[in-house]
Amino acid sequence: MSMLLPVPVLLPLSTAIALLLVRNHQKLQERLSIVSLAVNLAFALLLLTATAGGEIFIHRMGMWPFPFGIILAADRLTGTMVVLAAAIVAACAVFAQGYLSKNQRREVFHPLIHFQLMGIQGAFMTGDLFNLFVFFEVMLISTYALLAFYYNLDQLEVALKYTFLNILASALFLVGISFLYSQVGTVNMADLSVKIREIGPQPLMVITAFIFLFVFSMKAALFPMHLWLPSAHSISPTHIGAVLAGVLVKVGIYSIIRCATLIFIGPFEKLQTVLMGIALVTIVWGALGTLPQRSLKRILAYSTINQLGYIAFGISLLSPLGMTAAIFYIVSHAFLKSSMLLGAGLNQMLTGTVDLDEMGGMMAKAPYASALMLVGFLSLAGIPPLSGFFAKLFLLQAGFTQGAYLATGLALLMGVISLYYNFTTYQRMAWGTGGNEAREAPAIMYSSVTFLASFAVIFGFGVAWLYEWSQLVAYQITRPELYINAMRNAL
Amino acid sequence: MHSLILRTIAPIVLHLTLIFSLFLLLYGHNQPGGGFIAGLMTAVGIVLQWVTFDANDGWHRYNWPWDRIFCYGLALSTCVGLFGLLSGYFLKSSAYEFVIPFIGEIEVLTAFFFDIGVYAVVVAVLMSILTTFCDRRATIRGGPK
Amino acid sequence: MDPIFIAVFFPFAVAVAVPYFANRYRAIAAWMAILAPAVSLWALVLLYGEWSAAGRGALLYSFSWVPSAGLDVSFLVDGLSIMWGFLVAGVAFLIVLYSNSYLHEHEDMGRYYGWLTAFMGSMMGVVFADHLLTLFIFWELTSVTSFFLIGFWSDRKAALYGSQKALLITGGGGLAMLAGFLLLGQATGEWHLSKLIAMSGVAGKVSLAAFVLIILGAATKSAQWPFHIWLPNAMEAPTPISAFLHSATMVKAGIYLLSRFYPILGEHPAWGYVVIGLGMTTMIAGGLLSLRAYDLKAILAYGTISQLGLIVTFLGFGGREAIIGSTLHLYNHAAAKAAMFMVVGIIDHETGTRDIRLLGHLARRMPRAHILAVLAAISLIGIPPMGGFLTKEMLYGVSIHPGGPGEWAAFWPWITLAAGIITALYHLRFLGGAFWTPAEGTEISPKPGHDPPSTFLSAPAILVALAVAFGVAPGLIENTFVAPAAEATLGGGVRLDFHLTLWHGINQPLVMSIITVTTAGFLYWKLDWVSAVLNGAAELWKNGPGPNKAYDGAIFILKERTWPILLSLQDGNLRRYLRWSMVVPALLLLGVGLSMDWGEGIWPAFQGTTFIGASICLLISISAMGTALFPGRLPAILALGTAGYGIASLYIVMKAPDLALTQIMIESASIILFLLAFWVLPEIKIIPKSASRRARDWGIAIFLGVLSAAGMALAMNSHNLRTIADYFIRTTKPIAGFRNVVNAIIVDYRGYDTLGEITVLVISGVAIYAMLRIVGTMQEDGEGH
Repeated sequence: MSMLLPVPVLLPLSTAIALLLVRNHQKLQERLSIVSLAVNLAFALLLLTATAGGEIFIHRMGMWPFPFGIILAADRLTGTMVVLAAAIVAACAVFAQGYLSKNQRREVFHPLIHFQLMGIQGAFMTGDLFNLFVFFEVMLISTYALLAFYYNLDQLEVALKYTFLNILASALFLVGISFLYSQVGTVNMADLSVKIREIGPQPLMVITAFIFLFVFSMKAALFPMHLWLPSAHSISPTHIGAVLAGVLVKVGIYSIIRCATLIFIGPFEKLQTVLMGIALVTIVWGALGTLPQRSLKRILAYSTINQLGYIAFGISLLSPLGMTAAIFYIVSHAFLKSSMLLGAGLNQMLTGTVDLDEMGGMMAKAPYASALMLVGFLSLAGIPPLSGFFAKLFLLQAGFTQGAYLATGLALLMGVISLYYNFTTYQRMAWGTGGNEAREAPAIMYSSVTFLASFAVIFGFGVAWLYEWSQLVAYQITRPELYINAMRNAL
Repeated sequence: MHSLILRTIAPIVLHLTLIFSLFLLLYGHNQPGGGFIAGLMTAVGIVLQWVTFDANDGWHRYNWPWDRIFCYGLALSTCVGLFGLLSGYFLKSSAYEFVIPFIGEIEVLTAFFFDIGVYAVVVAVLMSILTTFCDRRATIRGGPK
Repeated sequence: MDPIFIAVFFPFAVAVAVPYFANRYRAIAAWMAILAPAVSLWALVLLYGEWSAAGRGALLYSFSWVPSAGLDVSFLVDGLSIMWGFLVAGVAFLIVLYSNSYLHEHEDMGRYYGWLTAFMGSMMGVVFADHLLTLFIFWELTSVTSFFLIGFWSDRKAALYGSQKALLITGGGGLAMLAGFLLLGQATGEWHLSKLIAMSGVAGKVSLAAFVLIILGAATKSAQWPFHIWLPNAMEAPTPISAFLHSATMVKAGIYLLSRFYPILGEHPAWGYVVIGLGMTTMIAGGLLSLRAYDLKAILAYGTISQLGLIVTFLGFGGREAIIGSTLHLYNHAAAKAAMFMVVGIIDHETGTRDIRLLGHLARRMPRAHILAVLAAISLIGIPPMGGFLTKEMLYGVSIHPGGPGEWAAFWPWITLAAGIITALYHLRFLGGAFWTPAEGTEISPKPGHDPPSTFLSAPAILVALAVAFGVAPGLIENTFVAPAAEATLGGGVRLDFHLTLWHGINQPLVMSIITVTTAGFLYWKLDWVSAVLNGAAELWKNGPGPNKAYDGAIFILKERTWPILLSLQDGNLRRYLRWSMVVPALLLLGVGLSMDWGEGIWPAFQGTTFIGASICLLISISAMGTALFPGRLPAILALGTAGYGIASLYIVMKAPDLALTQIMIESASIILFLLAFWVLPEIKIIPKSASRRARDWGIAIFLGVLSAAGMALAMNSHNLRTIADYFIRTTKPIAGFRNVVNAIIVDYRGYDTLGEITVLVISGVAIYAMLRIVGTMQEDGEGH
């Protein structure tokens, strides 16, 4: 397995190159792309099963020894995230097939999707902080191109906004790396962990950790770096919004988890209150932001901010229980939100709008599509026994166990608002009469939404699987010495 | 820019630039240089050359399929990495010694081919962007030619 | 499979199947739906047998769900849950029967019966759940299914409002209850109700917060004041739903919860105060509100609130008599109130209205419905021979010698008596408005109305018959259901043996009953006076606060008032976003930085600063400023280039030829790119900024500049350990085979990074190519606006 670790990067990369070279043969390109995504998903599952035993796989790029070369590492967290990325990106690409066929720019769509996937998976695989930066750039630029895919003014504006703010974060990333390098002289994550623990949580190191928190907050859309998200979700093409909400923001979350459990353990303990505050403000902001919206996608976008706040809250507890809850939440939310954004796109396809005031009566007009959305809304609102409920439940348990009563109470109170917006949005969408007539949508779109939405049910009734897996992941990541030793002893 | 002197000198300068950039590419592993710098220099040289000839339409001469070339470059670099993977590690560099008649023994690092990929990507991407801009401008000004 | 699982989960199976079949074979939808309560009842009978055979103790059934989180699906079968199970399934059976006549042909039966049976399953789950979280799961499901049932006629605005309100209040209360459960579980380390009941001294371990949160769950669900406001709005539901959820079962879930927690938390010092206070207020307020309502269903809804308050009050009193009385009253109330709702449904169905001002003299046109309504009403008023009389007597008896806090014991009989009078009065008003007196004014109901077919009347008739039976022959249920339920509520292995009779002889309760009926009769005769007083009071309080105003106000603030604040920050303005994303983190960093103890000697000494280095830095800063300040594009680009070349010269000064060369080439290439891009782009007009904005931007720039310079200086001065660079320098020649360490790093040590970076280049090439060369559609295909 160790030898195969570069596959999640190389497969999308080679596929993207191949797709660019055959871009005049549309059918061939589409097939190749879908096959590659399927192989990628299969490999991701293989990686997941391989990491399940607890072994941490290491691949030393160019055979350079620790900590000098770039080292890829795959633990359970990596396996989980790669599966998420592979599954969701594949579903979104399949969904896009449903309406992409007549667009002239489709010939670059598939290559770009693969480049994006490469960036995402590369970020999950790497054990090197600077390399993470590189893959952030790959992600950023491919996402930019995909956001502006239709090249209309709205989308260009959104893409520009996304890019400017993320370039700001990239600059901050470089500043952070230079601060780190000047203090400890290394960029390998495991080595950083060792050396930062050696010098202790000095003020400058705490500041450095804080800078990284901001950098990753931009990707993870946490307060105060969350401003770009709503428009990027709602104005971009649906499948891109779904990848953004399902996977890209999780890259930021993933990086924060790595910071909190591996790189900056000491400094993050000092920053715990701040992190918790950030999480709570994000929760509140996202929840309140959903209330006055008219656009279905925009509501989902604010709800993403809200949910990301919950995940960050789990991380901010800095305890195995909190991590378990956060991992559970990440997986549950990734499938959930991408299914809902695709579902919104499906409704857009059916009615030609995402404006809730123009929708109405979907329950009668498109019963299956609105049932899919209903599953999403129920899960998002935290209604048992769907996955969204358990995600919140475990978080609350972790919070109470930690003794963070007030913060957890506030998080719970926002649950009422989440009840409100989810149910009223469903009402406006599905109930009543009027609104536009429903058209037809290709079956392929239904199937990808169904695939993603089914996880809300699977991880609801089968909560034990995901919970126990999250525990295993949390067990491993809260013991940084496992990761460090694996890197040190790698062949 | 219709100065005769410039027109005469420009090709020479271009060729000199190209030679220098190739030198940077080939000797990059021992002296300052490398595929990245060499690529930039080549591209800048070409642009200066076309601007000297005809600022508006000079780019037509260089309207090559750059978008394919950068793909090949990226593919080359990736393949070098994959070649390393044959011995177990991605991007593992290895050295091969050849004896070439009259020149003697030379050592070739696989990393060198990686650098060539980098060079190709840098040149091709820059040229692709520049020609695309010019193409766009031409479209805006008078429809596609 | 154990019957308990069939009883709870079979309705869910039906709920999933019904919508599917209803779309194809409409006729069988109702028959499929009736399977759910029928099968559940059958399973309950089996269960009852099992439970009786096991000596009427507590039976536990469970299967493991999430063992690692201590979560299982477990059911507790004891007297209390068996009684509730029969109540729920029995009423559900009649409701489905009744719905068949009530629903119109064209209505969406699949949805109706689907949610109805799902609700029934959830309610069964609530009453049988043993694990606190299992209880919560089913509890929340009842709120959700109720939401969909209230909004069944989804094109009515009032249905939207009513369903939202019900969901927010009961669902929110549910979340509070969850928090309470979590705190309870944490404090006791136990999650199973059966174990908690057996445990001693739980009440002492539970904090007031946990206690209040759990009570909050019960109070919101059971529509206790001030959370009662959702119930009248929930009457937008089809009438069978109102009868089922909002009078017989769901609103009683709170009562169930209180009964269930009575042996666990009954000893809590706050129990008496909180529960009695809640119940008494609700009892009186509900009754008074009922007197002001004109919609028959609203009258019943407020009446239900009042009755729920009554039951809660007696759970607050506690003690043997009160528990028996309230348990029995549950039965009576469920039967009689559900029957009354069904009669209202019939009236609505046959006349087209439920407004008592439009209805009149229905006693003539609908004699059979009239008889049912009168019998149900007198049961609730407490007139013999109905079951209601029996319980009313018992409760009056308890109020004279109540448990609970002793300070105010003298008031309890009077308040209870007042509540009894009000109850009698609003029932008289109900009967009078619909059946006895003429309609007000000239308006009359849309349809004259007549008695419906017998099938429609059968369900309320069965319920009324039960209400009579409970009174005439209480022995039917006293030892089969009531006693075991009361035993389970009292806990501690109490064994009850009692015999109820309608006639107790002349005693204080009887006198109270007589006073109730005569006073109510008198007041009904003078109903105008009562209305005048109530209207006067309402007029006085018109501008005062109230729970409805609080609810609407809170929603208004959330929807309308918070957004402008958010919008002022999140308005889509990129400049604002950039400012925000720079300034807020900077301030937070500064705050964290200042809050820490940095120690001494942290600033670098700036030794070895050369004149040339300093001048280049100055040049770079000036050019950077120029980039921002020059009005035209060309000068700005040139200034930017100057800054770049300045950095290149810094590299030269620092003896880094590779970097310098790269920087120079990059600068040249980007200047060319900029020029070309602006060559293509149209000219834009730059709108000059106002002086205050300039000042602000300068301030931000200087603040950020100083902050980052300070950060850099601190970082410069903190070299602590050896860096990995030594290794690169050492191994470049021998291992990598290079002489140029920079290039070795680029293509070998960190070749993977380079691969990533050239990928970035390729992507940008592709992106620009795609955007500018392929003339794509400007609209989203198929998603067009």
